[in-house]
Amino acid sequence: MTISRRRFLEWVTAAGVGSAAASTAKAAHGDFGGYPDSYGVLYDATLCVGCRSCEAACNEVNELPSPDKPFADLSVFDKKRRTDYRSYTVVNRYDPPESKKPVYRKTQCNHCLEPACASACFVGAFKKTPEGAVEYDASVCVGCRYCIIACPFNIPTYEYDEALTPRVMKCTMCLPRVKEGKLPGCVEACPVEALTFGRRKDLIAVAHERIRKYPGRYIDHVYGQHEMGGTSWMYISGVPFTKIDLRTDLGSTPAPEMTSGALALVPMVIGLWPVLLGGIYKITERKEKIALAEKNESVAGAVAAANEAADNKAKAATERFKKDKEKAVEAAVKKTLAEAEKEKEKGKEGE
Amino acid sequence: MLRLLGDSKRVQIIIAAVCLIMAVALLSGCGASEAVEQEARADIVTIDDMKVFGRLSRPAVNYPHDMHTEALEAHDKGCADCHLKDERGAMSLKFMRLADEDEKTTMQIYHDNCIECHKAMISDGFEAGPVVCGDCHSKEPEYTSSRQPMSYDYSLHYRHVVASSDSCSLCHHVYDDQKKELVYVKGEESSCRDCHRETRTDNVITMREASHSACITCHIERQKGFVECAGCHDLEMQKSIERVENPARIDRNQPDFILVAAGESDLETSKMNTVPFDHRGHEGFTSSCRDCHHETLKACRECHTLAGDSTGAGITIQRAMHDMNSEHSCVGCHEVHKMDAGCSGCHSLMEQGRLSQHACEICHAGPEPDRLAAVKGKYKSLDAFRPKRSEVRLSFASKDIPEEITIGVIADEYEPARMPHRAIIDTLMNKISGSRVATHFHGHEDVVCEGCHHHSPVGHKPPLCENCHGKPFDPNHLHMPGLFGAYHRQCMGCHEEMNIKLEKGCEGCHAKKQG
Repeated sequence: MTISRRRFLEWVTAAGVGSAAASTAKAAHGDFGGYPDSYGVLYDATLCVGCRSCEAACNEVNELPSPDKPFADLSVFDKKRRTDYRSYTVVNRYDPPESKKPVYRKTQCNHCLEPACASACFVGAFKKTPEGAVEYDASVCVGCRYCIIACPFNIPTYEYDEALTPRVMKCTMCLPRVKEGKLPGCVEACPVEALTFGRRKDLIAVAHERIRKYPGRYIDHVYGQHEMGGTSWMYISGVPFTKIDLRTDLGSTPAPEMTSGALALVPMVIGLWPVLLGGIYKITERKEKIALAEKNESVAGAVAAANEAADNKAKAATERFKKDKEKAVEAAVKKTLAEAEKEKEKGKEGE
Repeated sequence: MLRLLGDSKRVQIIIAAVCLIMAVALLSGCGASEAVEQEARADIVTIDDMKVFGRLSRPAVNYPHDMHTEALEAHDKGCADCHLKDERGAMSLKFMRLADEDEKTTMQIYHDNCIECHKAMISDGFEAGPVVCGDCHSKEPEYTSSRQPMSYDYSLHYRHVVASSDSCSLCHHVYDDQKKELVYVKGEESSCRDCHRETRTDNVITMREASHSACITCHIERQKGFVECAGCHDLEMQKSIERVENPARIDRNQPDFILVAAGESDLETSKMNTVPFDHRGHEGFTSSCRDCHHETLKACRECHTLAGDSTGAGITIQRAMHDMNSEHSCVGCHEVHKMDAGCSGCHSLMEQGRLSQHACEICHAGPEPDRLAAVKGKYKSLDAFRPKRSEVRLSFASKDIPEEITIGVIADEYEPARMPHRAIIDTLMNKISGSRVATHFHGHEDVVCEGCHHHSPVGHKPPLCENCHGKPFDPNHLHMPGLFGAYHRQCMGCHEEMNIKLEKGCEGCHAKKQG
């Protein structure tokens, strides 16, 4: 198939338009920053006393299976725990040298403003709701568990023991309750109000105000204000955040932004490369075809010329052969005539 | 390109592989440098004297002084072998010279003496220091300094007073401008640091030079007290210095009791009532005069004027007395003591950085400034202004203070809490009367009620917690906990700070409801 130059140029233009569209899509990313009036929770590590009432309330509100040890059992603090299929939230105890008494930290989904799990999920099972919660839809989940790998805080867990309908399990920020105007279970249960529920932007102000009022008590940083592009669940602490197992090396780039650059290239690649490579292929193919045709032509010519030469040679040889034969015949005839003459003369003499 | 390596393909592959392995080995070794074993010593003198001549071309030398003193003692050498005496007979702290002349000579002094001595020792078969440039001038020196600054407190001063049989002139002097010499003037003794600073100013040598030449010389002569660096500058050695509990008061004609007012020149414009100040009592709370008299023994108002003066670094008398973050101001020191064990239960829950208006009156209880002349000599102690510790009490009669309060407003999973109200107040009053600063501020003002009945006027019917704390997380009052959180934060917060542990956790306050 041959393609005309015009056709090729049309395709290249189309591919260029496609890639331009892709690059504007990339530039539009990064301005989301969460819904403006979304809720959040502020956790104050200096107030938490490690009573585990939040764990008990979460278990009750979400109707999760009972744990092995009752919630009143504080010996669980001897080991560091993580969330699992029946614990959306766990409290761990830390004994850093910076503090005279133990420091506790509650861990649960941080409901990031731009969640990594939502970005990693290719079926769209995670949604960042306007209320602030990152909601999981088990009905579309295929169980690939990319979300578990993607989460920088290692929160989602999985019902590995469920054979037929396993779900990803993580804190829901009690979205149904919040929509009804109620408080999340853990927030309501905390006796010292270590958890404060409110609009995220108000909580940031509250956190900084607390730090200002009690400067000797807090590290001057609100964890989650900017980490991973900002989270809805934020922490303030009296000891360095690494001492209560909060990673400080995450940076403030939201997780989706880390991959959007590479992903935005895909339409451009799909648009441009087939055109480009296809064009190159076609051109090469045509070149080869022409080359082949020329080759055939010259071969045929050469063959014909060779044949002709051979014919001529043969003809010439035949001619020569004929001539030689004629000459030989003539010579033989002459000789015979000469002999006959000689015989005749001999005979004449003999009479 | 591989053809460069040889003709045969096999040879090419072998040579390429070898090059690759070597490159990997070289590069992996590049990053890791030898970790130098570093020893922290209190006697490290950083020799960087050459910096007066310009930028140092080699790293400064971390010189272990005590190590050398010890080593040289074994060879019958002493201080004079390295430190020359100046025209007054005082030991120069410089090495083998009295002054820094020029770059070359100074450098030669060090090199000629140090290196030659080391070489001589080594050739005599002893262990000695480096002889190669890089071993002294090393980027990662073998020795690092763990020197702690040394200072006097009342106890150490007292021991010197006793050891010198009360002869202040041994150490204290002032500079007589007329005679152009140091003389002793009784009644003008003060801290060395009043004149001797970190750097040389005019004629005055640095504190470092002064303290080493004065103290060590005397210690050597009398053969008492530490002579080696570590003796004064090593943390453990400092802790081992014998302490005298309750040393006799330094007699420097200081007042027992004064009415603090602004300076003479400011008295006309000064408005606040004078502050009756128990100077003698406060001496017991400091470790040396410099805790308050941080530059000179003069009165604060001499440098800190109403409007601020350059002698006081522009700091007004108001700020000098009330700065909450300063270690030298009255209020700053009181703020620190608010976090003491018996006080922090209430004070840690209060917002820091704000003084109540009420506190002004408690301090500024003296006569007005323009009456100072009239009352001169009349007041001898704080008793005229504040009741004594033994008289600490609330204005309420005991029967007006509920003995027990039942808190059952939000009782749900637990029985109502029974709070021993009067017992708590009695405990707090006991703690207050046990502390002089607390007595002064809280002894008679009923402010102790405000520890819990906060943000409301004090009276004998204060508002209850539930009157202000209701549902939590009101968006307009996010800082204010709900009733549930308020109860627990207030009670548990205080218990945590005061270290009053309750048995049985939650049930220590309220029993769990059965059924």
